[in-house]
Amino acid sequence: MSKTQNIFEMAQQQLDEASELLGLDQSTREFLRWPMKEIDVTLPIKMDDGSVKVFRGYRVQYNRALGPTKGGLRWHPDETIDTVRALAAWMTWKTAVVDIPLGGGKGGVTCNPLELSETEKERLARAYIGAIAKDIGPTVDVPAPDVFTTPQIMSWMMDEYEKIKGESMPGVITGKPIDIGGSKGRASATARGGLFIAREAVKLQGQELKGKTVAIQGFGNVGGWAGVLFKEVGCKIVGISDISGAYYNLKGFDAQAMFDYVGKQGSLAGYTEDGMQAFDNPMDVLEMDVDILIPAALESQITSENAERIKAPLIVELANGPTTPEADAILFKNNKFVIPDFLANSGGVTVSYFEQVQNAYNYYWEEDEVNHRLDQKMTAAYKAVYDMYCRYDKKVDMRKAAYMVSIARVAKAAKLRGWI
Amino acid sequence: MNTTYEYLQAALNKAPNLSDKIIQNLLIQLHNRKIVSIEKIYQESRKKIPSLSEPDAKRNKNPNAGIVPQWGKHEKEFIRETVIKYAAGYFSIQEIDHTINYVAKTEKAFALENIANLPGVSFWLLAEKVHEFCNLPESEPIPLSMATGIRVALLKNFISDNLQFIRIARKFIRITDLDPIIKRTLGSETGSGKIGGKAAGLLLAYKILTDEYSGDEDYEYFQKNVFMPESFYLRTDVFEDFLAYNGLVEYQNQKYKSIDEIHDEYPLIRELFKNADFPPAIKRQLQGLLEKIGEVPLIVRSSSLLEDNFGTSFSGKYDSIFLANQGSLDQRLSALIAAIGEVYSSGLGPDPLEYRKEHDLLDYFESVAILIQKVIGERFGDYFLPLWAGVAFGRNEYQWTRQLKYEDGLIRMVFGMGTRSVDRVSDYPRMVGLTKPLLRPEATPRDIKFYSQKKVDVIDLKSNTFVTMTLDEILDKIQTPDLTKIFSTFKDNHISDPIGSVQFDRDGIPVVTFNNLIKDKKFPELISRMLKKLEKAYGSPVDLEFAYADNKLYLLQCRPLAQRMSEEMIQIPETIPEQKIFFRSERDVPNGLIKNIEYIIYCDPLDYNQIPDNDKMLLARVISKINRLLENKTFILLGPGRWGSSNIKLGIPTRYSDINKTKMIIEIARESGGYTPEVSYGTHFFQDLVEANIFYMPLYPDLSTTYFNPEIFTHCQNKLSELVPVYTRFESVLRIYRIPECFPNQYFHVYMDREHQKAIGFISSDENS
Repeated sequence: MSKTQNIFEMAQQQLDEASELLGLDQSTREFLRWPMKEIDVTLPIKMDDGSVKVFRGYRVQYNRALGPTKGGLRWHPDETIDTVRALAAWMTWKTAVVDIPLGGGKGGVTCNPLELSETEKERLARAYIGAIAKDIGPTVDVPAPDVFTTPQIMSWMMDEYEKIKGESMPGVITGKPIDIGGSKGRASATARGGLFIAREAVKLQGQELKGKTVAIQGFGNVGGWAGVLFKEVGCKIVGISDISGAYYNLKGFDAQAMFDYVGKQGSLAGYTEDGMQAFDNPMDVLEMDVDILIPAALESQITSENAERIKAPLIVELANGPTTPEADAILFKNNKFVIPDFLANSGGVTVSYFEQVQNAYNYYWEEDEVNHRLDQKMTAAYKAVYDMYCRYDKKVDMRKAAYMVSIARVAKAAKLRGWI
Repeated sequence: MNTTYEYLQAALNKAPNLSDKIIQNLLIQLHNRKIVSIEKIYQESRKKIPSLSEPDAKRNKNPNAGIVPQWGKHEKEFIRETVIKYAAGYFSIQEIDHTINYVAKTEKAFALENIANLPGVSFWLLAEKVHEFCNLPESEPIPLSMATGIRVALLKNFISDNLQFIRIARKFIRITDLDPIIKRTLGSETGSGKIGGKAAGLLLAYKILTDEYSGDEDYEYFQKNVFMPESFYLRTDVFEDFLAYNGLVEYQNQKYKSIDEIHDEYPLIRELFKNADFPPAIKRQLQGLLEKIGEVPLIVRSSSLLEDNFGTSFSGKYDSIFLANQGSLDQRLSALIAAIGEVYSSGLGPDPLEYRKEHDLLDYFESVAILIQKVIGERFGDYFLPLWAGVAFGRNEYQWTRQLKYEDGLIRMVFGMGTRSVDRVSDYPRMVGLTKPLLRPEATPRDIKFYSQKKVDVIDLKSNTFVTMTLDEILDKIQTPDLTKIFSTFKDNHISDPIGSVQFDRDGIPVVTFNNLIKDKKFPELISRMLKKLEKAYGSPVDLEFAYADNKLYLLQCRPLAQRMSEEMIQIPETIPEQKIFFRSERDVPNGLIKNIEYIIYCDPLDYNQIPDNDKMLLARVISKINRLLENKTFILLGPGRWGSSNIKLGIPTRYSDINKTKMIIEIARESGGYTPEVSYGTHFFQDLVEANIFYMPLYPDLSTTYFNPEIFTHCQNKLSELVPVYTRFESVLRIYRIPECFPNQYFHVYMDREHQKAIGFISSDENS
């Protein structure tokens, strides 16, 4: 059995557990366990040297009960339909938990983008859209950028789709450059969504974010913005790590200066500021004694090996899958409150949805308005999950509660439609 | 008698020394053009002679006499008269002029060749003869054999006596090309010396590209598109005058001292040379030069006889010094003299002397010429820089994908002074693989931004210094439409290239991509054609330096591609016993040879998979520590998947500085370990490895053509706990073997043959002994 099938099995297992808790009937469970539609295309591409190379492309529309499916397009040499299938399932739960009227999807092309010239990439992007045009659209399925696909590739794809349809339809794709229908506020959306969620979590305990100490693992776009935004509301960022090491500053970091530095230098290597200490191991930051821990780097960072040593009472997962299932159990046992990834980092997909909305209006919001609406969505999403958590007497963790919220929403929509 | 007759007579009377040769030449022309045969002229002349003397009559019966007979003194006058009569009758005055000029030129050429071949002839005496020759009135070219002889003699005197250089240069550099070079050469009136390797390489390359007599049709293309910076030369003998004048001759023996002594004494020598002076005559010439060219930035480069020659490249061993060259004449002159002194001294530093020792060149008397060039650049306020500059290589060592062909070459280019593309700095020049210029080893906008140039080298005219600035700092000072060819903008995770050639929009983070320049195709095509044409003429691939300013591309340097190990033919040893072989591979093999490896640091992919993720992160730190501890040892690293990836699933998450002391990195791509065999994919720091001469090779143990046997080290002690006791627990995953310890008196060696795609790593005795 291949590694990728295991990923899909894992997704199914998470679904099964939540379905069990929700007491879903067998046919609903079975329906939710599989993608509703899979498209598999062969793309012959004329290369710059005149030769023809054949690529395989996929699009999985996992579930459209709540609305048009939505999810990224990956260009990766190891891409298979199995990976795409698992990721499409997770997108379904993510759009559902944040309560936006969209289903989940994912797509990809097996290719090595490093070996393609710009013109070859453009031909591949256009050919892919040509092949799946009748199966996508602003009201059907909306792709977005993912691994190795860029706003430029999204632009070509949108253009190709509009050519085929003969009309302006920017909402067919999100993640476009702002000049041709992208949304303001997209770059900071994931971190900002996490901030609103953290604020709600603290508020429901009768506290506020101001004065809380924060450690962030990973300082790329998401971690960097998290630093800036959490500091903006009065948090003290005392620990940050990236590939170059772990950095502590008990006086609190100037997160904006660090983010600017990374923007130019690529990593924190060489960054200095008053009161800062540097350490070798980037993993140490996870074990800091802080109020809020934000894993914003890679998957599987909190494991059975270090979970016992995690001191932060609140963990906001901005990375995808930073906590392993074994670690989850340990953290739950130790009364650590984990806000799961697909809730905490759903700010990104929410603003992608806003992009679709603005495209449909053909009227574009200022960034403040985007952020304001994001706040409303994230706050409501958090409350719904927290309610579910309380409904089960806090005997399930927030991850399970979030799955239950999502799955219940999808199942209800499917029922209302008379599918099950 | 017609006027032509009188004209010819007068001309002959004017040049009595040449008159015999002119008559002879006219006679041959009359014969060759079938106007009148030599025989007939001869007969006609004989008739006019009242009586022949005995010896002349005898000779005329000699059947072995050629068609141009040897004239006796009686015959000569009559024959001369006959030739003049016919020539005046049949040739125009212009034709007669041509003949006279041709004869004069041939005579001068003979004289020139004779002088040029005299031992120790003074530079200016020879220069005068060249000048005279070049100023002769136009005529038929002298015979090629004669011209070649003279060219060789002159090249040896003026430029370089390297035979390989001369073999190529004699085909392209004409006698008339030398006159302008001589005029730009500085040195004493009586001395003799050359202008050295670097200057020679540049001149030759430029001539190869633009020579209209070469038979290639593209010379006009190159004449239109490639330019040479204005250059001046200080002959090699000026160096000797400098040493003598300042009492520094003793330092020529510095090379025979121990490396420690060389090291210790070098700072003092440098100061002495920097503060030394030139003999007054030379100083006057330098002053004249500065007066002539004005306050423009200059670069003072060495052009030693060893440097940039075929076979030994002194690449970067001598200093090149930039001078802003601003201020009063006195100030500028002092700065120039100090700079020349400093360049002279740099040949006595530890680096070049060590290099000469390694290449058996110590006993050669090293005389350094100096090349003074106007720096190519544009002035923006107080700053001076070229818009782009870089190096192009005839072979591409940096193939991050098989789409790029080795033979198509590579450009490394930067915004600003080219120093950032030739020196090893912690920055990222744009690498342009000439097979597909727009391909780059990064796919996401964020990675493109990260792996792009961050700083710019410029000349600060105000402070008279060479400075490094950030992109933001310099962009505040520059306004030119050409920026749209250099920069793209990163904003909202999107990289966009400027539209048209309007002002560059700075809304977002500027990223040096050269996208618009490369997309236009003209630039990569020009470089590609230059590399190909030069390779054809040199008979080997070349590397060249270039800079662009004021809408012109300048060639700054050209030389045969350094004879690195990777260019050599590697013979894979065939008779190594099986139990001594660690690996054999036949896929993605680079070219190179690493002998006498003392340590092998090996992380097994399957073991790596077993350890917790935290330990995977920490393992990178452990390797970093070992890298520092073994800094002065020869060691190689073998490990799972992609070194340098930040993703622990793909390999040990080391950064370049964690592994920079290794001689080689082997990425083990084992499918059963869950790693993709597409190893080079994602190795972003590959560029760093190429720069640091660290070999990189993927190894695919699952392929049937690969042999991989870590078992040969089973009996070896793992040195990990000895080196880093605090990390003893990593012994199960990281193995460090000290080869001479577990295989007494033996070392590990790696042979890699790119051409036949074969590599072998094995244990055997010390290969240097």
